[in-house]
Amino acid sequence: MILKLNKIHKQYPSADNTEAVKVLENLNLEIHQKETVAIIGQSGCGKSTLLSLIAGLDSPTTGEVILDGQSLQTMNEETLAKYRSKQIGIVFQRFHLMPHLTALENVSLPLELSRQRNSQQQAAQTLETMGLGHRKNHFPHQLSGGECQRVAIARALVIKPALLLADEPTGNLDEKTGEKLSDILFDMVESISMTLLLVTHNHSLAHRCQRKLQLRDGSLHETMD
Amino acid sequence: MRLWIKLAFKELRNNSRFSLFFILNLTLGLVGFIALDSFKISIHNHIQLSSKAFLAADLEVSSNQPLTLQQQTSLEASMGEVLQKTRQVSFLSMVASPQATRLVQIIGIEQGYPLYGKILLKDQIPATQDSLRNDLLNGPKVWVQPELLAALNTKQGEQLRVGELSPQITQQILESPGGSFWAAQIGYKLFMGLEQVEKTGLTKVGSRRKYIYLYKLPVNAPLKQIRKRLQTQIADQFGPNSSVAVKTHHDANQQTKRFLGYLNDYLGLVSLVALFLAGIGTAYLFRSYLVKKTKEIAILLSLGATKRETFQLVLLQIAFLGTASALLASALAILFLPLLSQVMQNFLPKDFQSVLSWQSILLALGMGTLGSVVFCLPVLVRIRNVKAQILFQENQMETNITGGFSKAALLSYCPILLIAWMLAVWQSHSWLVGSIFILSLLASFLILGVIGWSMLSIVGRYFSSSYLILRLSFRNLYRNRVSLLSSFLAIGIGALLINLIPQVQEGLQQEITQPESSSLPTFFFFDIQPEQVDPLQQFLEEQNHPLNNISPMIRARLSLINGGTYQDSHVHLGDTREQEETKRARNRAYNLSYRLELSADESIVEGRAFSGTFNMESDALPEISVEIRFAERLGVQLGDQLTFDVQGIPIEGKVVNLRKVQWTGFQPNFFILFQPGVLEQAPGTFLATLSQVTAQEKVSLQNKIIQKFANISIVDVSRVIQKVLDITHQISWALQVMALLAVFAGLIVVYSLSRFNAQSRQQEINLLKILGADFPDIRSMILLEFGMIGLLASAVGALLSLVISRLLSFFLFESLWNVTWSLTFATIFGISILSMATAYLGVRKTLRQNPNSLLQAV
Amino acid sequence: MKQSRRFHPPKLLFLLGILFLLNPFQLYGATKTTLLMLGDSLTAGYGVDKEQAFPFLLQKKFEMEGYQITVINGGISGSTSASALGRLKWYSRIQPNLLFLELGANDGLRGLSVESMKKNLGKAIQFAQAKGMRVILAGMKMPLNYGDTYTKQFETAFHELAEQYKIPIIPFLLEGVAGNPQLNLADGIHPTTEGHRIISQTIFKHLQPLVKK
Repeated sequence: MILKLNKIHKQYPSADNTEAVKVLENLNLEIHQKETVAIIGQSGCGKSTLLSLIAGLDSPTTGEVILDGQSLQTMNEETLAKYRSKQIGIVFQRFHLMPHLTALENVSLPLELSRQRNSQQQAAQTLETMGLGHRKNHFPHQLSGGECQRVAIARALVIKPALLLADEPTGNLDEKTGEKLSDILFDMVESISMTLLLVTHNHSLAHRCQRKLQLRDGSLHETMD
Repeated sequence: MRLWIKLAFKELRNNSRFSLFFILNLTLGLVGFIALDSFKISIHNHIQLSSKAFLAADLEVSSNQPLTLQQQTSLEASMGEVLQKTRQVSFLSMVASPQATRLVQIIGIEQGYPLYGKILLKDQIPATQDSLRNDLLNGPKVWVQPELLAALNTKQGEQLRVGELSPQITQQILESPGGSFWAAQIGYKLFMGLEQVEKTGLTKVGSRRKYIYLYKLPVNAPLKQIRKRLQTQIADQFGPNSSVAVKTHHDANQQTKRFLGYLNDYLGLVSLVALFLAGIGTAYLFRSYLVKKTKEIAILLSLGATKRETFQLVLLQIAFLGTASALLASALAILFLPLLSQVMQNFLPKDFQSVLSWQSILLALGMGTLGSVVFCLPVLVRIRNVKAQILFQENQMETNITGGFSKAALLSYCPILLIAWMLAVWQSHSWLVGSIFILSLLASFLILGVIGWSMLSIVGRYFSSSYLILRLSFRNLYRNRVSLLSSFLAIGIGALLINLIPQVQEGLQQEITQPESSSLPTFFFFDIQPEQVDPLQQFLEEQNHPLNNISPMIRARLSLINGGTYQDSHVHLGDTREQEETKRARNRAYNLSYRLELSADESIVEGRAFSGTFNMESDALPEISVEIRFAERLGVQLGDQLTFDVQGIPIEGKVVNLRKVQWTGFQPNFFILFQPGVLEQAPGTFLATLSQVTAQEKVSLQNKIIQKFANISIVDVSRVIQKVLDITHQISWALQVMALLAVFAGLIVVYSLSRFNAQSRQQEINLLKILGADFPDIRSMILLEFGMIGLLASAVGALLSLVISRLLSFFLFESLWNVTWSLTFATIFGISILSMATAYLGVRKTLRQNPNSLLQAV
Repeated sequence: MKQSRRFHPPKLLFLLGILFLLNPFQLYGATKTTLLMLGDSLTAGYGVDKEQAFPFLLQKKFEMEGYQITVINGGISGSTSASALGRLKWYSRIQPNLLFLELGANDGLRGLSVESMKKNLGKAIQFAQAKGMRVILAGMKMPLNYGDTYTKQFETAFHELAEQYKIPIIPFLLEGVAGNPQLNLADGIHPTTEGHRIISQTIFKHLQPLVKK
């Protein structure tokens, strides 16, 4: 088991401080190694919150996130950051590349953050496998949306994370580019046997995952098609 | 760490256009600061030199008795380093030519005199130390003012009888240092060698003379402290009643002393304004930069960087940009400021030395480097709260980092405040000024913040217009209100600082400027007896020199205020003049005068004019007018009843007005005026002035008057007035120039802020363009938006500056203050236009660009 | 004189009349002396309190010795001999019977003509004598820096006047005070309180024979 979410509750104080807004309620999830899981749900149902908790960018009100056997709640900010830099890759809907770094520099950044050697070669290699070898010295604003997202995927995968989180990866792309990108994503995941947690409301994308879960009323429900 | 340095530079290099833009904006502000601050120091130095020329030294010690060498050495020990010293003896004496005898002021000097300023000889040739050595100090010789030759009916080359000596007149002196108003020219000056003076026998025990020891001290010597130290030492060593006195060049002339004091404080304010203008500009740029970086920080966090590391990255970048700008600014200043002053040569006073101040450059460097950390601390503290989860958000990501006011956020402002406060005190050389300045600036920040926030909120929420552009503008204002608030604050404070100096200047200028209506007197006549007024007037009429300002002067003691005794609050134990004043106050004897109309130099500040000549039949008290500052000193207010003992007879009157007197008019003015019809019977004398007497006529006229009216004392005040005016003109010029420069530097900062603002709207403009908005619409929208922010912020800022300038003038400039609406409106208007124009140019540039380059939402 | 009545200048003459009535001299006839001290800053007590200037000290001294006397301080700082006659006329309304004339020092300090000073003082003495006042003249000297000729001329002028009008003279008012830094203020010419005490003794010595007990 790579990821285990145990009785997660998450609530935010409301604007007028009277009643807390409950986003996640008694949410449980287990994901096994090399499993691909899709989470679908309406906008505003708490998908982002869930991803934040899993990435260790936010902490639950109660409950535990256990990644690779270790509880994130026991880690301090520093170890959490280290852990994140080695174990978790994230692909965002809006790409979120560093605007003033080239494609290659963007991809090598996480390697450098985790103090790995040969970051340049590894990054270049990863870009190559994503079919972007010829674009490695371009800046994000010189790339198309699909290319940007491919760079983002390369950046997430380059550290060979234990868990890949993808937040609506095709959401900002047109249909054709989106399909092409999901092909690439799943190819990569398969080829390196990656554990993937995908958040989307695109059903065709969700279909490509082994498991589909629906986030509703603050907790997850298995769905059948 | 190396990784972060590498990354920091990589980013800056890859984004070189922005880096350059940032650096240029910051450089502009810093160059403005260096120029303003340096020029301020140059002006200060220049006017200090003029003031030193008044005394011919930095510091003088004077005594009725010659000081022994031991006494001199012990006093000098308290002065710190003494660069140069020269001795002088001065006294009045009757000097005779074969034709006439006259009262003369004899000044014995030795090699080295004067330590500042110069002696100007016949044909405008300055006396050199060589000419002193070879001529005046070499044997029994004298140099005299040309008027004395005429008065004694003698010529250069002839001999005079001075005590037991018969020295030869070898030179004429047109100009020489020194010149307090009242000790002025009761006798014309005669210079002699100090050794020769001793031989005249006129300085023996039993004569009334003054030994003066002049000192030149290092430029930065703390004169006030040294004077204080010496005064205590003198009181210890010579007793409290001794004639030994210390004077700094500031004390040399009462009028210039006051004005120099004003100038000093004014320049201190200018420094503060310069510093804070640069500070506001820098802080704004740094903070905008940091806010832009929020998203990147979030990305780095999501990639597994720690917060500490991300802070390191942005701080490194900011520090680098700041340092680069500061270095560039310093280089530009060093290269171009001398060039600039060369170009301005014609507008600068003669002998003006413009210096490049290393202190200013160091300050600019400090601001560029350390400022980055200090100014950005509050933003950094807020960024601490930035959570990377914003990256997941499904809707348009907002980099809203205002957050609540946590304790940490408030604490983060403390270093800024503390450093700003320290800098303010340091720059203004005054705890009081620095503290007032910081406090009022802080209050202004709050007021601007509240007004700005409510305006932006109200405008966005409640104003909807069917007109698209208006609606868009209003909505923009509302939606961007967080970032707009900081530009609102920056422009508001900018306007405040810009308008502050001219406001302060205006009040001072009015005080210092010589009123045009009055012509400057050449002679003051004293001791005209009542029965002499008519004959003298008639006599001078015949000579075509009508007598002006004939003023009665009646000596009286102030015995009671409102029927009770009073305490004079003006008790200073300072230099001799102040001691004298205290004693005069103890004696409570004042010179009263009476006249119906105010003179051209006077204006009523409070109360009403005299009702006319005193009505014998009325039961009312006689009316009194009191000079306002004197009234403050006595603690007298409008409506108070003053009782004077006029030579044995008590006379009571009621204060009906407080008067302001423009003393630069050099007219006979009185602290206390009665309405006519009260004091006419009391024994008194008259004084009067005579104007526009040419140098040629001067002496012959004087001789004629002396022959006919032997008792009248005639004082030639033309030279002293000229000297005072020279300095006040320079001060007045300095006030104006500094005000102008401050406005200019301020506008530069506002320009660089607006430019930066306009640049940051690029993205949005492009979006609108792509959406198909009309170019004119976009332009109007931006103009409207920037115009609104500029107008409101500058209006609030300018109004606040009125309040602050009033406050400062109360503490610093004896409430010399005038509201000048025209100036205030010019500031508001100018800033609005500038901010709109800058925005317009920025928009035009963006509109011309290919939208594709900005199309991708990165 | 001491009560500070509200003063109405229109009624100046009227008030002066009251003053006459209130004046003990008027009430007690010839038994009381009114001494007018007409002078400059020395008499006015420049730089010291009114109660420490010699006119006030004299009043006290005479009272202690049992004399009935009113001393009027008619000193004006900076005044010259030219003002003597005008001021004397002002004071003659209260009919002083003894005049102490101390003017001329400022003439000398300003280097004015000694001749005209003599003339001015002479006129004042004549006027006083015509009004039946007895006059005592305060002799004055100039500091040495004014040169031999002038200082001598100046000093003798007073003695010549005394001789001409047959009046007593105090040869030098500042005897034992002038030139002594301990007895003079920082300006070197105005006496301290101690200086005033010495001066009052000098004057008392010369004045006593002229005042009736």
